[in-house]
Amino acid sequence: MNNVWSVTQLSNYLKQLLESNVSLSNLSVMGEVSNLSSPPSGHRYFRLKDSQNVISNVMWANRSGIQYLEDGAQVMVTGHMTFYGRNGNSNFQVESVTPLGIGSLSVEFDLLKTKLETEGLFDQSRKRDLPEFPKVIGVVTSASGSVWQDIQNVVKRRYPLCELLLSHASVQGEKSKDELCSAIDLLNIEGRSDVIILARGGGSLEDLWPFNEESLARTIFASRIPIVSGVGHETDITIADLVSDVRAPTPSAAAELVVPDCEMLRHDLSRNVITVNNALLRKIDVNRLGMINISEKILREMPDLNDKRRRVDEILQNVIYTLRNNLTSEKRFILELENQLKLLDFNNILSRGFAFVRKDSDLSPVKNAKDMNKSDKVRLSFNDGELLAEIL
Amino acid sequence: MPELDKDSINDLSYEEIVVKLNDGMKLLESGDLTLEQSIVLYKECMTMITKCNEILDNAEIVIKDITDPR
Repeated sequence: MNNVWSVTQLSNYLKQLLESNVSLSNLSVMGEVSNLSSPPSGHRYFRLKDSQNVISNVMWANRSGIQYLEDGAQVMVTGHMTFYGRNGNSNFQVESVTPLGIGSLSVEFDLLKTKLETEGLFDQSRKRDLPEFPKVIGVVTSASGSVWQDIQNVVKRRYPLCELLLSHASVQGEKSKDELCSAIDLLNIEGRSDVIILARGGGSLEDLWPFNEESLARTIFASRIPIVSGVGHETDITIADLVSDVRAPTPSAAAELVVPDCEMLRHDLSRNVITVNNALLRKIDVNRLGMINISEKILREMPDLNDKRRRVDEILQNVIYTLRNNLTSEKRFILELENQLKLLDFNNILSRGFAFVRKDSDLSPVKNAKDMNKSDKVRLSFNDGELLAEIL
Repeated sequence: MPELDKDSINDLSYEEIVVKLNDGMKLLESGDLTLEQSIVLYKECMTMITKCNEILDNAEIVIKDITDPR
């Protein structure tokens, strides 16, 4: 008779058999996740299937890659086979999960991100400031895409003072990675751009994948010209965004970030007019105040002229007084002279009854009687007239 | 204080004028100049503001495709 085992004996034997098998102790299996159970404990129970078969899996909480488990996901699980006696099932006990397909891109993204971050490609310290007033703006995008039109429209509207240089590159597909790098290099060789916009419209993760390529990241890092990225939508963050000097959420936003707005500039200029006017008015006020202070100081320090004025008045009064006195004396003197003259006046003597005698011949005065002869004619002047007389 | 004539302003880009304008305004606001110097600088600033507005009014964007073989 064959050996008779208990269920537990068999169960333990199977468990030992599976776990001791070298081939089954550390292997990876690919398949699609189904029947995923996620109890509050954090452990995961699921099936992994392919087109023909299914295996049961268990994964304890906090194991690597557990977040990639979801129904329908293509994954690669790594672990070992075991046997669980309580339900009599063999299980694949998963230690780690690696996503495949889209999931694998995500892993690739994370790995590259970690690598470049470690190398310092994302360091904030190397991010360069953008020029305030760019003269030439390089644009790396597809010449046929709407993004190029959008960027032109934004720059035309906001700041038409500049030149837009398109450096065309495919923004999706196999060639895209190399063309994007070449387009950036070309702008660096051309050398006139003050800033570069690296742009692409929205798309799936696979569409945007060229912007997650390492070669593009290194080209952006090596660019002498600052780069602003505007890739996809606001929620899409690519490696190119992380390594660029500035990340804009969209291509149009990148264009807006790169150029100032003319309307704001006009507003600033209006404010500048007010500023310079006020500055000059202040200067004039300060000078006026200075002049007032100087005037007040001069007035304060001027000698008291009233005293001088009083003194001048006194002197003037004295002069006038003296002049008046002198004038009175002179008048009196003249009057006396006048009186004396009156006394000597010829007519006054005649009026007292005297007559003035002159020879008729030569009108010489007759001073002595002996000077006259008989029959001489004389002129007798009286107070009121003259007579002709003859000496008898 | 170097004086700026109209011809030399015409040779400057918008950015260069704005830099000079900002410098001029700072100097004017500092109050360190004489009244005569302030008046000269004020006139220069106003000339530069007028020139900036002219540049904005007359601006026309230039668009080139450096990858286009034509």
